[in-house]
Amino acid sequence: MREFNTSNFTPQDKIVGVNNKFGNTGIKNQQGSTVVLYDTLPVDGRNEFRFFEGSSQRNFPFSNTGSDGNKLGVGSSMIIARAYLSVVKFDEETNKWQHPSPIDGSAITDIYNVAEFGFELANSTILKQYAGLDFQAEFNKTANHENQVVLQWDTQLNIPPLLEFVATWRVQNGLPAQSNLYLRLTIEGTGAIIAPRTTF
Amino acid sequence: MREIITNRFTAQNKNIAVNDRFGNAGIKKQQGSSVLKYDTLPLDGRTTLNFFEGAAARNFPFSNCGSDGNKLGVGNTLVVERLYLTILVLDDVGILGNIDPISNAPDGTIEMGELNLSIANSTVLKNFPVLSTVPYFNYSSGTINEVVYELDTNIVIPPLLEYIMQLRLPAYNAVDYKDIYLRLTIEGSGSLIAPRTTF
Repeated sequence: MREFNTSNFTPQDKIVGVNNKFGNTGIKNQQGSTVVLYDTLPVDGRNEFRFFEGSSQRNFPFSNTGSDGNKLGVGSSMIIARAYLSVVKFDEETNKWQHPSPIDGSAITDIYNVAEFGFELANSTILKQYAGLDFQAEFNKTANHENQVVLQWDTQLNIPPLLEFVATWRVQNGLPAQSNLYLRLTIEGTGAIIAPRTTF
Repeated sequence: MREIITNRFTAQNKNIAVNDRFGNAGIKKQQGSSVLKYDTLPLDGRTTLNFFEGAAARNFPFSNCGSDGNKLGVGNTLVVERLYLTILVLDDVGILGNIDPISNAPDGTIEMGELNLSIANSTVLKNFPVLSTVPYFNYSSGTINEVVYELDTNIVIPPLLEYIMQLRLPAYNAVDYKDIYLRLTIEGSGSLIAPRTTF
């Protein structure tokens, strides 16, 4: 059994507080929601995956950032409460998407044990050299069961609108290229989406 | 088992507050309840499934929306706290059964999908990836088999406003999904009308 004790200061409070400091005082009037963003990059031999960078070029089902790319739109905001990585594969022979899987146990397991995760927001590093091993269920303090690979952060990070964000996943040299194999990063948490209260 | 202690602003508080802002001040006098809505659609090759839209035309066991369809009746509300997807198979004699999680579907099409919830033409949940409900990647699952996803922000559906949950899928082969149906369930606190007068 795992227990969370939350303080009176909620993720929603943090969104409103951070945005207020940026002069974005209208955020409290937008639609509260659960915001989940993902981006998918090919396993093509690169040793640094820069998720969300240039994601406006990638459409469904590779990314859900849309034309905003690696910025949240006006009136949108999110708290990064959790993240996970998954491996997706499109089977060209059968022309089907295979069931996505965690990295552990997949064809690219090795990158798990040696990777580092980072997060940059508006040219500032806000999560630095975080060991990729922490995502793996055995070493994941927030895993509820033996196969859960979602990592919940100790400090929830806020992404205000219109600021560029990039998540980095650094692996060792020599990761072999794999045909039609992709690595997907998903970040999720409380957020806001624009809700104009007027007619256009 | 997992326990979450939340702050003092409960789902019930939010339900009453949102309805008050709509001028629906009587909601706090209705019967508090757990409300669950589901709708079931065939995976017949379409890549956009609009759950709850037209649900008034679907009866048990395909949907529990009844004649209200994709609106809650007067005095009824729902706070969407959780959601999950399941696949079912319709057999030759018209029995809907063989319930399975989406990870047992013929391929990964459903897990690659995205959900959108709109209420009264406003999007309140946007491009939510279905993959986050799969137990490996579902932060709120307590076991390797649990596919229920708890939303971070509870979303209130007031009465008499149309709600639609749209699922977008990549292209797939309908032959692989013959007789397979997909069910979406949303659930949470809510209210049921409880008239305290004679008509």
